[in-house]
Amino acid sequence: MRTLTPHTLAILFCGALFCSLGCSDEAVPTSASSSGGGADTSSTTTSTSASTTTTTGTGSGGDAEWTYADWAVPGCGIEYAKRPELAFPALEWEECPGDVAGCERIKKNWPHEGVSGMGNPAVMGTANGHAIGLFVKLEQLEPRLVYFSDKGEPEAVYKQGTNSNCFLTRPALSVDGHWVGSQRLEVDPPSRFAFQPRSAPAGQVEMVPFDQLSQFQRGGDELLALQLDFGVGWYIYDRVTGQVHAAPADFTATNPTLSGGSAFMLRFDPDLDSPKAWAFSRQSGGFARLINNDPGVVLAVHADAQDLVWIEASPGAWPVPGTLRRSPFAATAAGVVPTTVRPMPPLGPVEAGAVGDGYYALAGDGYHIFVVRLADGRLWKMPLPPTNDGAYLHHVSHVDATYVFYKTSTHVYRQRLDQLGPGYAANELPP
Amino acid sequence: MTQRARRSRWIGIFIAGGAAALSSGLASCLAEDDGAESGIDEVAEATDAIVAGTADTTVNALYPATVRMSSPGCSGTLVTPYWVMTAEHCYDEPGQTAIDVDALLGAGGEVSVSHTNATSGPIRLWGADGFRETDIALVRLDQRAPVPYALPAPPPRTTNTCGNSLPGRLVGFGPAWYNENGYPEEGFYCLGAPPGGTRRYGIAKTWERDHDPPGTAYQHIFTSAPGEACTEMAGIGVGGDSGGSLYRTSDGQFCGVISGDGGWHCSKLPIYPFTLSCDYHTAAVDDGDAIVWWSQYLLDVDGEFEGTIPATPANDPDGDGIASLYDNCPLVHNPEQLTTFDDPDGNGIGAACDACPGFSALSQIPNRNFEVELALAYPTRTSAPVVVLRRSDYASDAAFAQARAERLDTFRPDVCDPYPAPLAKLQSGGDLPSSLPGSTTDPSNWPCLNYTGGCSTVTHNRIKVTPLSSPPVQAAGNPNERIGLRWCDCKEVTDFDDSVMGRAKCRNDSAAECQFNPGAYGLSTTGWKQLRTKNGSTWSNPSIGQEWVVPANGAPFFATWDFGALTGAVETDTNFRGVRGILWTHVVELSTPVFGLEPTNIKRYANALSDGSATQALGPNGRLWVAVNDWIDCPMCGFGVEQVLLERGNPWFRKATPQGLDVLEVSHAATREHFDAVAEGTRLHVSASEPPSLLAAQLATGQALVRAVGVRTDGSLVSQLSSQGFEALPLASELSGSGGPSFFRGEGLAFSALEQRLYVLGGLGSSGQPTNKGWFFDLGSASWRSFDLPAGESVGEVLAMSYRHVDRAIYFLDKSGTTLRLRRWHAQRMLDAGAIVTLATFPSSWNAFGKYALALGPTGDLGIVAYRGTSTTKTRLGRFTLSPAHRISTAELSSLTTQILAPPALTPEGFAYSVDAATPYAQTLAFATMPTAWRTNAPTIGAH
Repeated sequence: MRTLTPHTLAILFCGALFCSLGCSDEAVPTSASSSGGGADTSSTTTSTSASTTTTTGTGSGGDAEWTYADWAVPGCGIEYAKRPELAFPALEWEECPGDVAGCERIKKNWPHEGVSGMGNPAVMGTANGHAIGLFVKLEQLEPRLVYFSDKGEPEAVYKQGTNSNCFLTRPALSVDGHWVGSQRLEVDPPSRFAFQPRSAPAGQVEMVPFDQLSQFQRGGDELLALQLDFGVGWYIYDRVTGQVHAAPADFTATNPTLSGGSAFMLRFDPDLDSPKAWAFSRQSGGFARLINNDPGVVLAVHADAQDLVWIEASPGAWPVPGTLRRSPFAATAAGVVPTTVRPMPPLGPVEAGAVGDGYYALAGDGYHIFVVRLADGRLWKMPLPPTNDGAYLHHVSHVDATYVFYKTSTHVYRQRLDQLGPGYAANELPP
Repeated sequence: MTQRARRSRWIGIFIAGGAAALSSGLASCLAEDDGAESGIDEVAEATDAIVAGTADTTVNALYPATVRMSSPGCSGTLVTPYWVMTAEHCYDEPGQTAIDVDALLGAGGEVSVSHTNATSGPIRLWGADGFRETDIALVRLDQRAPVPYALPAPPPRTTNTCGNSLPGRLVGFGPAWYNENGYPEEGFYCLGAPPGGTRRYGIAKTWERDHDPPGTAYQHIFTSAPGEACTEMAGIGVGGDSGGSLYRTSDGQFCGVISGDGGWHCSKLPIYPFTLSCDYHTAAVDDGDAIVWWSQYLLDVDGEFEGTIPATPANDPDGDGIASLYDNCPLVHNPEQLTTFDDPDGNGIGAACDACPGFSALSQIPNRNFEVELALAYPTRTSAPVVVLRRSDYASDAAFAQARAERLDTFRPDVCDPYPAPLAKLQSGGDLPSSLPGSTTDPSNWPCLNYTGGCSTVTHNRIKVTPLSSPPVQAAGNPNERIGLRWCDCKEVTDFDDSVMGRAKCRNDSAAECQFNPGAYGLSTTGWKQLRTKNGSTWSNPSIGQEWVVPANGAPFFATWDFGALTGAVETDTNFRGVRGILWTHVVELSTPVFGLEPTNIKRYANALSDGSATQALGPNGRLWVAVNDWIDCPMCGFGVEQVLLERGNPWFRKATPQGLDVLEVSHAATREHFDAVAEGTRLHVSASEPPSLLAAQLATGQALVRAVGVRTDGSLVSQLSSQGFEALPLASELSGSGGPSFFRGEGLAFSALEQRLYVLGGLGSSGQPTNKGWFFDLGSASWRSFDLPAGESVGEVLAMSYRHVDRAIYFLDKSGTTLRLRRWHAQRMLDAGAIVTLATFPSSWNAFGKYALALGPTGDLGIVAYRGTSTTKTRLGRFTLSPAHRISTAELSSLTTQILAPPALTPEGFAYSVDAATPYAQTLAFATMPTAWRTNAPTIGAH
């Protein structure tokens, strides 16, 4: 393993002087009738976004001022737009197919072809709506990593060159800014990760002291979790302390849920058939078992700043019925004060889930989402919209009192909770 | 009965499986056996090989060069690390070529080292006037014999080195067969019993050249004095000692090959129940004629015995003082191979670098979880690096030993992998369930790929899956092992394909969500999707946790994968319908420890990733399609080892393999430079002539293989392209190649990876005239040599040329006037020896082609291909067989109305070639194998 250098917060400045190194002036057209993106006040409000329109490909109109990101891995041609509003269309939502009440999905108002041209989004609730980070693949153009404001306007856009060995990392949002990274196969070191503060000019980033190849990343307000390629290790970078914490050896775990200075995950070793709830906390300075329910197993664990929720079950061949429990937020076993919320339908280990505003949403299987109101245990079993395109559930990205955001293999959706119907009481189970 | 048999009785040999040989040998024995006797009371120790000899089993064996050959049943003498000298009569049966040197003796007891695939042998020395003095043959082993347990004993280089009289000992492995009374079974000697299990040597006796009877035929052999031999019985050869060694006792010099008796018998000796032949003959290896003969094979271009090339920094990267060609671990410093036996499994790979000690057939064993092991060892890489372990790079022996151990812990073949992974193979075909999502239209409406030989679109979106348990898991007894399969969609990933690199791109792609987390196999809602499968007659719903219970006997079984159920992932176009992704095979349940490891650990690491791409519309044996930017008619394109399709300006190789197309990035500067030069026409690229399967069998883990060479057209530079492992990208390195020929037009080039030699023949030169001079470049000495063709011979424009490993000969096509002809030249060690023979001429219908190619099949078949035709027939493919007497016969022949794109390869099934597929993929490459039984309109060739 490569030795990590702790708390190296290198601040790099990238100004326009570097532009000539890697700029191209291509841009994606903005839509003349794009709708407010992140705002959740209506389903399809129409507004006018940036007026500059460019053509696709190498069009030069409406210069987005693409600027070479010199913090990124050399040879990948990572650039950021100094005028992001000209680099990507504003976010639009459209009604879901099948006339599903309260359901919307991100409109592919960019050049696209195919069915799965975007990755799992990062969603963060704000006072005005939702900020969204989205990785998008564009037909005939370089991939984009786009951060939309809670107004749906692009406020940061990255793109990479045509080297297919390169990857822009997954979107990750913080109240203070966003995370970004680039990786390149078969170079050493292969990776660079950075945090772009909202308060700093674009390109003036804080470098993350971690350069190993990471097949998965998840970032939050204070932490960035990085999983090595092939899942052979987990690392958590703490932006507050500048330290990188390595998980114990043979730490096989789900992608964590992040909340403040804590991370929550299911750990599958030493017994792969007996997942346990673990947590990293800045307070304890490391990784530790969170829920002690031996010989039982934990099928899911998620948290936000207020609530810690998990599903306990007895060992057995999956899927098995479980019990949803809740505690006021805690990141150590000593702090957990469990109460029972409701019984859960049979499940296997679940990674995709989110907690917010007293609601818990998690993947039931590849085609349903369970939403639970923690206060009274009411449960909704929400099917995917009838798209007839074979799409299946990838991820549950965010839930709050208004929406649940999720991603299928083809689209990013949001579903209003008040349109879900009556649901099932705490003592009822869906069929 | 042959004259030989009448003249003398052979020391018995065993011809495996040859009933005729047995009966012949028996008749010979009975006719001349005049002293059989039984009922002797005392036999003492006089019952083993080298009658009454002494077992050579001391800690430091006295005669480690004498080896046992179970097929034929003889002994032999290792004269170089590769060559065994034995008796010619051991191969006396017509057509017999078998060789199995399967046991050597060394310190601490017997060590078995099997060599079942001799690459050459036997090469017989034929005498004009007799046989005793020429009863010598040479066979070349398929792999280097281990040192020191088979320390070679080279024959003397100078005539009569052994003198006219010498005290010497016979050493051999003659049989030790006993009857129920503990006595040797007489009859076995005559019939030719298998050699015994112990190397024995006799007492020192006096051996004399031209001794008894004196005369021309006996000037070239050593015989023992009859009286002395019959007085001192110990040390007389018996059946199975044939081919063994006569060593001079004073210095151990190898002087003779045990041949047999001369018909002078000391019969009915009181203590032996059979007739012993006391007048022994050994063929003198220092005879002048013999030296001339074996020098052709045993001496290298520098006049040194093969295997004695001194180590240099260039040919000994690990710095252990042993040149890589003879190093059993070319990249690991292990000088101990010179003093200890470090190859216990006898696979030619030293223990210092053997990833699977105790198992010899490494080349046959897959490494299923290669990618997992790669990730554990080299997390940032997508290909295994070439690691050279030099002792000088480590501070201590302990640190070096640890580095060795870590190296061996990586990339273990499945048979000895502590984390043995199951595997799933995708096969074409399968039934179509009705009324299911993804059911497709009638595939018969889809156009065929454009090639002759039949059109068939038979593959549906129901792909047969064969889950295969890991052999070690089965061996450990796991009747309830369950195998699970998952699949992840990678179609949106740029440049995704079935390769380690392609899968790495998909795993790390921020949209595909195909990250690999082996411990979390059961997780829902990642990019990994369960397959909709049918096991038996029941189709499952797509769900997490689809698994199969492996049959108790571990036998393969079929399930069916309905990739059509993954409708969102299915790509549909005019010519195909399919999905592209990764298939993840995983041990879901295991009950019994394997290699002493708990099932939980095995479940964690027993994962394999493979090609999860499947398509609906393919031709027979069709493979994946791939779009390319630009075609370059490169000489290495084909279906052999290189199978490289160059893309100009693109740093990628697309390598065709029998399993599909592999993609490798060329980041190595010298390699890029090499292929750029090839594309520009300033460098010639010559792939190894030997068939890939043969080279694959030759290559063992840890060994480098030179797969091609390149020559600058002004002859000023030679590069070699070698790979560590058969699947790895061959990387170029430059050799000093000054002094070579210049290439003008029509030179024939053939490279033998086995011989490590590039041959250049013919060409029109600067004057446009044929040449009587040839060239070769020997990689061992990194030097060019020129040689003159036999008197009166010259070669002009060569249309195609190849090296045939079976008879170590160059075959080439040229024209005499307008007649296409196939010619052969024996490229033996004596380069100016042997005439160029015309084997066949071809009808004029073979003339109207722009290019020709020769392809060698694994068994020595010869493929002759004419392509770039200008008439309706664009391509003509012929497979020919060659008899041991080099008679050529047509086996299969066919013509295509389609252009092939590059020289094809000869496979056991037929030809494999590439064609430009039908529109709309004008730049699409489809690979197809010719069906068998396609003999049509075979023209008559003019065999010579």
